[in-house]
Amino acid sequence: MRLLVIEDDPKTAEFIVKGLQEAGHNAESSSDGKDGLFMALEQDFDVLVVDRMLPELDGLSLVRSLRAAGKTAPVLFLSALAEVNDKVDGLRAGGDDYLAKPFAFSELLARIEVLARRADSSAADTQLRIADLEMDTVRRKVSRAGKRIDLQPREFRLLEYLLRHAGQVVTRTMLLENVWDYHFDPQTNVIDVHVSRLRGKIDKEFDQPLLHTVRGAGYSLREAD
Amino acid sequence: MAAQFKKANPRSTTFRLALGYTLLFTASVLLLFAGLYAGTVSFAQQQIRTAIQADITALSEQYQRFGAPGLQELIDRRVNARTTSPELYLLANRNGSPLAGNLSGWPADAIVASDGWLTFDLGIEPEESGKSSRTTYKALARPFALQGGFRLLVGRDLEQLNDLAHRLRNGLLMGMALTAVLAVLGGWYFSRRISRRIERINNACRQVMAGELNQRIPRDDTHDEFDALAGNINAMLGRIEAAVGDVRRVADNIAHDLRTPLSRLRSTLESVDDSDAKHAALREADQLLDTFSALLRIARIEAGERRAGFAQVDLSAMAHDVAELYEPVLDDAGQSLRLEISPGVLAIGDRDLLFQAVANLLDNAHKYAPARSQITLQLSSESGGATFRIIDQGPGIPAVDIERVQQRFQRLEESRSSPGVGLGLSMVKAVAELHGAQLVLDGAGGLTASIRGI
Repeated sequence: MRLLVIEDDPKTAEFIVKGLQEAGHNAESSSDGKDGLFMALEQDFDVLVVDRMLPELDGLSLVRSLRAAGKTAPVLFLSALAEVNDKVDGLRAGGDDYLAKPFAFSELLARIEVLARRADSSAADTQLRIADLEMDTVRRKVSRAGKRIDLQPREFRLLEYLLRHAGQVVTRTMLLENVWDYHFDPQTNVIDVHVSRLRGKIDKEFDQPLLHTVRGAGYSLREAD
Repeated sequence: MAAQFKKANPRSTTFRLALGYTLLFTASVLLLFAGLYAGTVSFAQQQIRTAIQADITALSEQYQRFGAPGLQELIDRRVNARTTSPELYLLANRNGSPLAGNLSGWPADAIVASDGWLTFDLGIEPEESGKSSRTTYKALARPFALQGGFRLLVGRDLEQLNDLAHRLRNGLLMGMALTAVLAVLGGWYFSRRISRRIERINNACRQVMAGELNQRIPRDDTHDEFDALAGNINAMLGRIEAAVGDVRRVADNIAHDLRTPLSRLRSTLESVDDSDAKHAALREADQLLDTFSALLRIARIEAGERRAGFAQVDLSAMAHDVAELYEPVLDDAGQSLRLEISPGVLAIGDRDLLFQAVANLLDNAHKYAPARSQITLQLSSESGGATFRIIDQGPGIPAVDIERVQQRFQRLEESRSSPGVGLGLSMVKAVAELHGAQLVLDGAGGLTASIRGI
């Protein structure tokens, strides 16, 4: 993927670019709003990572100009302003996701990959599968190796989200926001318990585990290498 | 929200002032008119008495000069000259038989006053009875004994006086009524004018309390007390807004200036080779950052700016969501969750913050209540507003510590060893207050934590 990071703090920018390159992506960076806007207008990137507070041109205005010019590349806002109102402002300006500083790199990477995938995947798929695990979202049926698995409604949504992002790392915050639809800080490992219950239903009786814990990041639904 | 008064409110100061003023004014006018009436009537009566006295003097002189026949002739002349005259005469001999005058006989039922004056009812002559609704007239008279046994009675029919008094009374009563109406209207007008100006100030204050710190009271340039009050309140609001702005700037600066190096620290840690020490350090860093974020969040909630994003929240559905999220964690700890959620409870608020608050309370119950105990989540619609209650069977909180545990970083000694930094209840309190609700803790026999009046 070709990625552009527009961030004025050189250390943060360097850290992000280095991390993205290590993950196998082609990442470039720009340190001010005007410069970043020109780069984004002249070249095609798969995902843009934009800081909200930038010299010359702030992040919101940058994205508005970009959208006005017809550029549709997904934008992830990065900001120390983390209130819901700030997020809403960011999304209204044309951003696609919002990540508060400080962030874990794994969270950023997971979100960038989801954004890039979103651009070309059809969310309307009703038949989801990985290995021998199958889900029919219309008839609300789940089975593994032909064996029917009964899930609670929330477990179903959780598995559906994991299946739609199969192979990617999904963080706990992403699960809270997308499966539970609440933005809040749980003080206990509530998500882990839900995931472990789901794991008990889809993995326990089978040889090959599909739902993996990614240390320090979150979870990933994938076939073992 | 506070009740607004648009119509006359009996508890409003201006209404009571106007009412008192109206009553006082009406009472003074009543007193003035009563004095005027009494004075006028007594003056007219005095005039009549003087005239009667003068008549008696003239008639007794006539008697002395011309004797009884002369007097009789004079009385006849006077009576015949004016048939509708109010003057009353009677000349009687020593037996009481009338000799002259327009009275048929000596009045039998006269009331004799101590000063010799008589008051009696005057029979009406048949041809006049059709004209008047009254059957009798009052009359005032004075008897006079003449030499030779004759008795003279001179009096006046009081019809005219009564008529005058009647008209005067009606006039004054009309005046009274008009005065009272004017006083009520005036009182109402002034009360409304003053109420409106106070209401303008109250409206602006309410908007400020609702988080619109840039609201000001409109000035009217009359330079009176209300205008001065509005000016002072505006100046005060200006100072408060500046102070809140300072706090927010400081908070934003901290967010930007301190969190950036902290995130760099975290990034550096992430790029270190995988090891248990690295993950332990990352957990520590995350906790530091979480504490920091929580502090900033509480500060910004307290600044009230999130009220701008308030919308209708289905609290019943939200309560079920919190319960559903926490149920597995509680279940793993052997704690059972009992739900008493009234259906269809709605409120205006911030969905995510309310969820956070209820989740924090449930989290606390989970941490401090023993295994195999029951935790109850209640939601009910009460007179003061929607109320959440989280009831656990844990050790509770001693009454002396109830206030303290709601402050930042304050925890009970016994719980120092459990995870958390002591911001959970401060967050709940800030969220409750943002919604005009109250966090109430009752720590006797397990803890009951309520968010009352959302």
